[in-house]
Amino acid sequence: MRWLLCGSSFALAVVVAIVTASIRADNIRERQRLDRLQHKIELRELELQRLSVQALERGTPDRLVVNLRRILKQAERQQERAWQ
Amino acid sequence: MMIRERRLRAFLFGLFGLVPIFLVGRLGFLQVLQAGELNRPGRTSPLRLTPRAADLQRERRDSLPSPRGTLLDRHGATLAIDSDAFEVRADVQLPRPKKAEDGCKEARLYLADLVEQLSDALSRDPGLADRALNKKRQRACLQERVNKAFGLDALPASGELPKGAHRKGEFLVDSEVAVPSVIEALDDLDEAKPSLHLQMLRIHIRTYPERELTYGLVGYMTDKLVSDPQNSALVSYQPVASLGLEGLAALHPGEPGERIFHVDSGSRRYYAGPRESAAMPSRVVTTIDLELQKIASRLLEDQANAVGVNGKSLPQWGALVLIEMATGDVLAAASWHRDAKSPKGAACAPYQLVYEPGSIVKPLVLAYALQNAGLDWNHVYDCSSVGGDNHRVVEETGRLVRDDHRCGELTPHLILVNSSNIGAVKVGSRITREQWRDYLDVFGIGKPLGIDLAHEQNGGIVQKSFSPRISVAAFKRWTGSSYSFGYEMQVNAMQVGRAFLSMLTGCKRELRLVRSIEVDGHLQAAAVKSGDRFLDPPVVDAIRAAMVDVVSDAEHATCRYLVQNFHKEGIELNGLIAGKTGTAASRSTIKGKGTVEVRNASFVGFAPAAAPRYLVVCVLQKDNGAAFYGSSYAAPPAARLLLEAMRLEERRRLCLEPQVSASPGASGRSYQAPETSQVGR
Repeated sequence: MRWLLCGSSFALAVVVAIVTASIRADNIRERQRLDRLQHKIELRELELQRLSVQALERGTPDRLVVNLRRILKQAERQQERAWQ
Repeated sequence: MMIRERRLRAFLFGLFGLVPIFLVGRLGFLQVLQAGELNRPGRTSPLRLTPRAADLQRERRDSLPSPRGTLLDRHGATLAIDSDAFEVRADVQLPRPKKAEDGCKEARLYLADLVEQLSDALSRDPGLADRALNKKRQRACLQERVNKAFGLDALPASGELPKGAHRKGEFLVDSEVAVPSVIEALDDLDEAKPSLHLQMLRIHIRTYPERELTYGLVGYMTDKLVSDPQNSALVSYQPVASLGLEGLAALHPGEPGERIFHVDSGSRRYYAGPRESAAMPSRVVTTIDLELQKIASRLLEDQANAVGVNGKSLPQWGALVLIEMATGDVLAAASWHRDAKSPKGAACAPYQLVYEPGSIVKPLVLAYALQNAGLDWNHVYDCSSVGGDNHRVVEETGRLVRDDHRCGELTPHLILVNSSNIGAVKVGSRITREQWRDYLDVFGIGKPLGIDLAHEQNGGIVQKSFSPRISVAAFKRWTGSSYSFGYEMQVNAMQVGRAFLSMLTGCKRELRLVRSIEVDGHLQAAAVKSGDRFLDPPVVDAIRAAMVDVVSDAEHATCRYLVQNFHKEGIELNGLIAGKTGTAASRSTIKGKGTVEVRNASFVGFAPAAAPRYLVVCVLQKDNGAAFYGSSYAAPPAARLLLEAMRLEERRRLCLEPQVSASPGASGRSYQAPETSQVGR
C-alpha cells in the first residue's frame, strides 16, 4: 500500500509537471499567435497610413482637376462614338 | 526486505538527493564564488547575474519613435506629415559548410541565394509598375552591400573559408519599407532561414504633398552625420531641419514609445502586453493658404518667363509675398530662380535674398515725415530738373539727384504719384539723423522677421552711416538723401511687407507664419502682434490716397500702363488696387560674373484700396543693366495675385454661408456691395 501511494504521488507529480509544461507551452503558442495577429493589425495600420499619405499626394486639387478633365474627355468621346 | 533491495533503494534515494545538492552547490558557486557574475566565452565583459539580466534574457524591446509634428495650411491641407515605416537590417551567420573544403563555394552560393530571396521579397509591392526592373535594381544594390559585409571580393572562389573570413555580417536591406506585402515576405524569410535575423527598426518617412510649391517656406529635413566625439568615427545619421518651418521647435518628436515582448528558446517572439504608444505628433497650423501659394508661384513663374521673351534675358530671381492685413498672416510667399536646378537647393527669395528697395520706400518716408518732421501735405515743392537725364542738385542737401521723367512743382501727394526722387529727397531732408534711425526701427528695416525661419537674411544699413564722425550735413547729403529713395539699405521682400503693414495700419506690426500649435490635445493660438500706434489715421489716409492715385491712368502715374493693360481685359484697377512701384539699380557681386549692375523691379500693393485686406510685395531682380521697371514687370503679377485673393475669398464665402435669399428671386448678397459696407457679409 505504501508503495502504491508513493508511486501514485510520483506519477501525480510527473503528470502535474507535464500538464504545467504543456499549459505553459500552449500559453506561449497562444501568445505567439496573438503577437502575429497584432503584427498584422500594425501592418494594416501602416498600410492605412501609407495609403492616406499617398492619397494626399495624389489628391491635390490640381491633380484632381487634371483627372476630372481626363475623365470628362473620355466621357465626351464615348458619347460622340455612341452618336455616330 | 533483502539487502540487495535495500542497497538499490539507498542508491536511488542517494541519486535523487544529489540533484538538490548539485543545485545548491551551483547556486553557491554562482552567487558566492563568482560574486554575481558569469564569465562568457568570447565576450569581454562578464554577465551580471541580476533579476534584470534574467529578464533581459527573455525580453526584447522595440523602440517606437514618435513622429515629427504635422504642418498644415490655414485651411487644414497637409504641408508635411510623418508616416510609419521600417528600416530593415539583416544579421547573417553563415551556415556551417557540409564539407570544409567547399566553404568558400557554399558561402557564395548561400549569400547569392539570400540576395535573390531578399530582392524578391522587396519587390512584392503590388503598386510597382515594373516588378522585374525593381527586382534587378534591388538585387544589384543588395549584392553590393553583401559583398562589403562579407568581404566577398577578397574571398577565394573555392576551397576552405580562410581564417580571417567574415562568418557573420550585418547589412542594410532597405532604408524605407512601408508596404505590408513586402514586410510579410521579409517576415516569412526571417522565419524560414535560421541563419538570418532581420531587424525591423521603426522609422518615419516625411511626406510633403505640395512639395514643389513649399520648398522655401516649409523647408525640408536633411540627414546630418553624427560622429563619435571620442574617435570621430561615423556613428549614425540624424535628421535635421535645414530651412523654413521645419525648424520649429514645436515639430520636434515627443517621447518615444516602447513595445516589450518575450522570446522563447528559439528566439521566437511572443506577446508580453500592449505597447506603450509614442507621443502623438504636434499639429502646427500655418498661415499659408495653399491655393494662394499655388497661384502666387504660377504668377511669379509666368511673369519671370515673360520677361525673357523675344530674346531678352531672364531675371535672376523673383519673390512674391501676400499678407493678410488684419492679422499679418503670410498667405503666400513664392520664390523663383533662373539658375536653380532644383527648388530644394535654391534660396527662398522672400526672406533669404536682400536687395535695395528703391522708390518703393517713398510712402514710408513721406508718412514718417508727415507724422514726425512737420511735412505740410499741401506744400508745393519745386521738383523741376534739367538735362537729358533729368538731374538737379537738391538745394536742401546739396546732392545731385536724377528723376525718371521731368516733373514740375509737386505736392507730397504728387511726389508719390510721380515717384519723384528730387521731391523725395526734399521731403527727406526734413528728417534728422536721429529720426532716420527711428524710421529704420519702426519700419523694421534690417530687423529679423521674428518668425523663426532658419537662415533668414536681414539686410540692413551701412553701420558707418551713423558714425558720429560723419557730420550732420554730410549725413543729410549722402545717407539721408539715399534713404529718401530707398538706397544705401537692403531689405528682403517680407520685410517690405511688414513695413507697409505697419504703415497702413499706423501701428508697429509683425508678420505671422504660425496660427496655432496643438500639442497633446492642447491648442495654443499664436497672438496677432500689434504695437503702439505711431502714425495718426489722417497720415495713413493721405498716403493711402496717394498710393491709390499711383495705380491710375493719370499722366505720369507710375502704374498708368498697368491700369491700361488691365483695361484691355475689362478690369478697372483704379480704386480697386493701390500701390507703389520701385526700380533700383545697384552693383552686386555675383559668383562667376564679378561685380555687375543689377536692377530691382518691385511693387507693393494692397486691395481693396478703400479698406485694405490684402497686401502684396513683388520683386524681380535682373543682373544686367537693361531697363527693368517695377510698373512693367513687378506690378502685373502682384495686381493679379490681389485680384485672385479677393476672388478666392468671395468664392469661399459663397461656399461657407447659407445661400438664403432675403427676398424671393434675389440673392441674399450683393456682389456689387462696397467693400466698406456690411451689406451681404
